[in-house]
Amino acid sequence: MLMNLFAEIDVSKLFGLALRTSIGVQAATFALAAVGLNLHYGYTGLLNFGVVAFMAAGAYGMAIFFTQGWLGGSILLAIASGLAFAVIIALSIGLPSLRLRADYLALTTIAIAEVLRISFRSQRLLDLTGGPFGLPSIEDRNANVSFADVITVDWNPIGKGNYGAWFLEFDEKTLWVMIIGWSLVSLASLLIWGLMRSPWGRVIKAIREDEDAARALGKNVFSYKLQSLIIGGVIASLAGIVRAFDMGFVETQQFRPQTTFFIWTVLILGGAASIWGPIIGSMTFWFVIIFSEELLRQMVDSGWIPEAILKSNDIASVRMILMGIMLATLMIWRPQGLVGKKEEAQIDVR
Amino acid sequence: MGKRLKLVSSFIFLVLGLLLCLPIAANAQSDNELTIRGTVRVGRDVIPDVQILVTDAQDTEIGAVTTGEDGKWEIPIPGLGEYTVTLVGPLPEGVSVKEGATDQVVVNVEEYRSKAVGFQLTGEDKKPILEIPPTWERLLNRMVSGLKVGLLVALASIGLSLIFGVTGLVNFAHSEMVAFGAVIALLLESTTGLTGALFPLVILIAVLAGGGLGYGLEKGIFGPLRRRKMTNISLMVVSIGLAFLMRYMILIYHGAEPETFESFRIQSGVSFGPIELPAKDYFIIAISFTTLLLVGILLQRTKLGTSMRAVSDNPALAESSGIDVNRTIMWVWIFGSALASLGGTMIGLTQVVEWQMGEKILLLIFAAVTLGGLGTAFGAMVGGLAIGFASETSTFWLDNDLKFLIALAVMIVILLVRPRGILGVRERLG
Amino acid sequence: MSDNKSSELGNVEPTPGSTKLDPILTIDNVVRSFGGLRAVDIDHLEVQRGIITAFIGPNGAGKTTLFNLITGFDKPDSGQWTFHQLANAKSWTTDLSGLRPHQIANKGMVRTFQLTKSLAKMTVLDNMLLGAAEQKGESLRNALFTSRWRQQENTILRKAEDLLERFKLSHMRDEYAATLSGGQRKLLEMARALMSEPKLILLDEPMAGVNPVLVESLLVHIENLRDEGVSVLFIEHDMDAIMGISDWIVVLAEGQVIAEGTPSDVSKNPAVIDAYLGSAIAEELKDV
Ligand SMILES: Nc1ncnc2c1ncn2[C@@H]1O[C@H](COP(=O)(O)OP(=O)(O)OP(=O)(O)O)[C@@H](O)[C@H]1O
Ligand SMILES: [Mg+2]
Repeated sequence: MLMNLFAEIDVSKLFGLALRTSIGVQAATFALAAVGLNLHYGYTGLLNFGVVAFMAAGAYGMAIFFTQGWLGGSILLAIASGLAFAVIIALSIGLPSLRLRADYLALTTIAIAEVLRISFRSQRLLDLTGGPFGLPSIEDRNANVSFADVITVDWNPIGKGNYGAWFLEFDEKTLWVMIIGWSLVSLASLLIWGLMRSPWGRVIKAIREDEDAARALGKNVFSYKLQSLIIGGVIASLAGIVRAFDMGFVETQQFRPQTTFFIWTVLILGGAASIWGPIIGSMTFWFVIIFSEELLRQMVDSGWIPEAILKSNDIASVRMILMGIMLATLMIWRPQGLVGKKEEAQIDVR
Repeated sequence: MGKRLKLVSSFIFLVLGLLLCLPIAANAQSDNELTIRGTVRVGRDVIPDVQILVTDAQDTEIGAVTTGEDGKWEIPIPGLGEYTVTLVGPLPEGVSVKEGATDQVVVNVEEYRSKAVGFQLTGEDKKPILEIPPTWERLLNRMVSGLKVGLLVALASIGLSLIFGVTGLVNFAHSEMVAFGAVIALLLESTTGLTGALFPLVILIAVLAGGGLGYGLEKGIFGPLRRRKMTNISLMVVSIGLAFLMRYMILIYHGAEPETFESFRIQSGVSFGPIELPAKDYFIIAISFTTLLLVGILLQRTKLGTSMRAVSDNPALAESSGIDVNRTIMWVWIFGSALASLGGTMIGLTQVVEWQMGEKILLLIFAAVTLGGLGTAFGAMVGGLAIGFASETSTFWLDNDLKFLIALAVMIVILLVRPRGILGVRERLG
Repeated sequence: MSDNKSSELGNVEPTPGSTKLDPILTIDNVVRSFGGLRAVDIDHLEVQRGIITAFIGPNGAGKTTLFNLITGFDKPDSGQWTFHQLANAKSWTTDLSGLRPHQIANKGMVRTFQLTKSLAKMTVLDNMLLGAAEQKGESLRNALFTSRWRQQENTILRKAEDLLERFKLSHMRDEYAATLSGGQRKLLEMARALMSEPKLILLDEPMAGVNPVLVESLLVHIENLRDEGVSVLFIEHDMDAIMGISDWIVVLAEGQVIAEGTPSDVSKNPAVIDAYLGSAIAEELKDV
């Protein structure tokens, strides 16, 4: 029976697909968002359940600016406006709510993220955000015109063609966005590393441990939290922007609350409060998800798992179930994740 | 070490139990191949004999059909991806595409299930199906249906608030417990034939199942974890994981298609003065109202209610005055989950039963509970009524898609200016 | 009994709210009530510079609440309090009421907590380094440029090691603060507060839970502090410690100052004995 299974399974495809996704753009964007969340939650102890608000702010800020053709529709200015939008979101979340208790902050942030998403989706903003259809508009998408073209075609230094081999073969567009994505991950991680080894980082960690102690020592806790929220938020918004370049469009469906929880899983899997955590977490996360999904698919397709138990239609849902199980069990048995320090495993923010 | 083992085994047990539902899932689900489908309608009228064309991203034609008598159409597609659906026509005299909308819709099929597509049409000289009653009458009807939604949200919220009260846990899986009730009830109705006059039995069993689920969650997961001194923040993250587990179990189990209860499918309106509601709404309002009343009495008058409130106020004090705290917490889980299940069934009755029910109602429940004050059952009732009423009645003036915004805005404002809610007491620092 | 500081006190009257020669802190009409309970209700109180002042009073007298109020961690219903930065310069004063905790700390008035707040998942050394005030590297502008803060960091590091040595915590330098004993945490918290070189340090029950041998050395530290010019205000229940090192005692009961004076004044005050000390301790005090 077991031999039979091995004969049916395309092992090369199994590992190939899993590996491909774990180094792909998606993994890079999740890692980037997790780097931002790591500063919020891992180091500062802010329970931000609205990560996706920052990603949406970045992506939509960029896309709106570009498609409206403001200031000549320069893509660099568009990206800058995406980042600026993220700063505005950070301020409007932070100024009123950073004084709240941790669980109240969690509820507030998730609510604000939903407000943002529902507003983007609203018919009233159809001209600006494309409502439920997203950006670019349907006509532009039919004509294959997107804001991503400037980056992936005009500014792409890689010649047309396919690179790599086996399942790790990428066309020049994907490869270029991958390079951009992982470079941003490295830069952001480097930035966090530099910050966290400085006295600034020491205050940030102290706030995570005990706000009142930091206050008693003369640190302006509110201001530090706001700084953390802004820096982490801008990093997460970059993730939204890279993702938009990869997909070629933005749509509110991409920014449902579940994306936030994916990123939480990535961070906790890798290890909060560690520099490598988000990167290792994202790569492992996607490897595990795609590996198990593909394995199930092959087992179902080969009839090894009977249709009565699982249908190929439902395999996509198994991904979400896996995520749920990972999140819960990691929190219980390995809160420090794969590479986090056990002593610093952050499970009791107030 | 024995404890740890017990914890591990009960957790695995629970997950396995849920996974065992999978085989049933396959039976419960109809064959659905990958399609794009829809119904062409203007107002309440369906439009037959209109041609629909589906093309893929490369603009090659995938298929074309004309709508049937019932205005429905369905076109199989070869796989996931982006498709353009075009309304070719011809449209009946006087019917046209709404201003601002197009006769082309781009859909992105991301999941292996059929995707519904609609076109926005208006008919200028089409007679409205119903005579439009005067404004005040419509507003009144809106408000009554707001009351109904309020009662339902209140019903669904109490458990969350009670559980927060006695344990301090913000349970993100609560809304899935609501969805669980609806799905179980639907399954019962369709498999056992308990329809019509026997339907109350279905409700009863769904409520019992909800209580059982609460018992299982406390016994298998949250109780042991709490005793391991896991913090409420960590437990909250665990509950998020659990919510996803449950939500997608429900998807596999129930399928992607929204369904309605057979017993309540055809409903004519029943007038009551100027108020006209489907008959089932009276039933729903009556049941919800009575239940809320009973809950109030239970909390105020019974020993269990007293100990629940005592544990909410101060667990240490309650413990020292001879109350069995763990037992009380267990009852709160059972009771809260049963109520969630009832709320879910009722919500399923008014609308449809679908796997995303939990996700949709989650923030509404949170809004209700924070408005009333986390941890107080009466707060949840008042908050639920207010949130349900306000968001439902707001559709009289505002777009339908903005009604959630009302609830969320209320929640954010309350958290910012008075996080203890309207009925909550300020927590003691230090 | 330390009478070496009586010169600074001069002949201050041992009556509640008496005027001091050179106050570092004056409190006026500070009221804080919780529901119906008036936890703190102080008409006027002055704290003398350069000496050790003890706050005593029964449990629930409002001592901690008063600390919370004057350090900005809690808001009073009404009242003002002022900080006198320089000795004998009545003109250079700062109104502290309404300031936020970190602003008050930065004025030179630093507190510790009754329930220790050591930063458990940071090392003992990092706890200490955090205490230093006005660090360049703590601003985002400089954080990434090591050269801008390296030198200051080294100075702070030496100071931290010095203090750790004095508080017998050197061997724990690189351990997580979570591994310290309750008494060691009290020490760490006090040492950390000293890193900022405060003018006035407020200690909430610094000896609670510390073993008697360490208490001895803690008392010596506190006296040394005073001799270095730091004004000390501390809450304590340990009578021996209080009588041993304080220069001035303020007695609180039910939120009000019911007596103040030197240890010998206070121990003779019948109101204190009635309202607070109870017969057993009163007996003990008679011997002092
Ligand atoms: N946040 C609060 N809410 C309600 N009452 C409070 C609060 N904080 C303090 N109290 C009450 O105020 C009174 C003074 O408390 P406080 O902690 O200041 O006493 P204390 O003198 O420090 O006592 P101890 O010596 O036991 O530390 C007590 O009766 C206490 O119950
Ligand atoms: Mg105290």
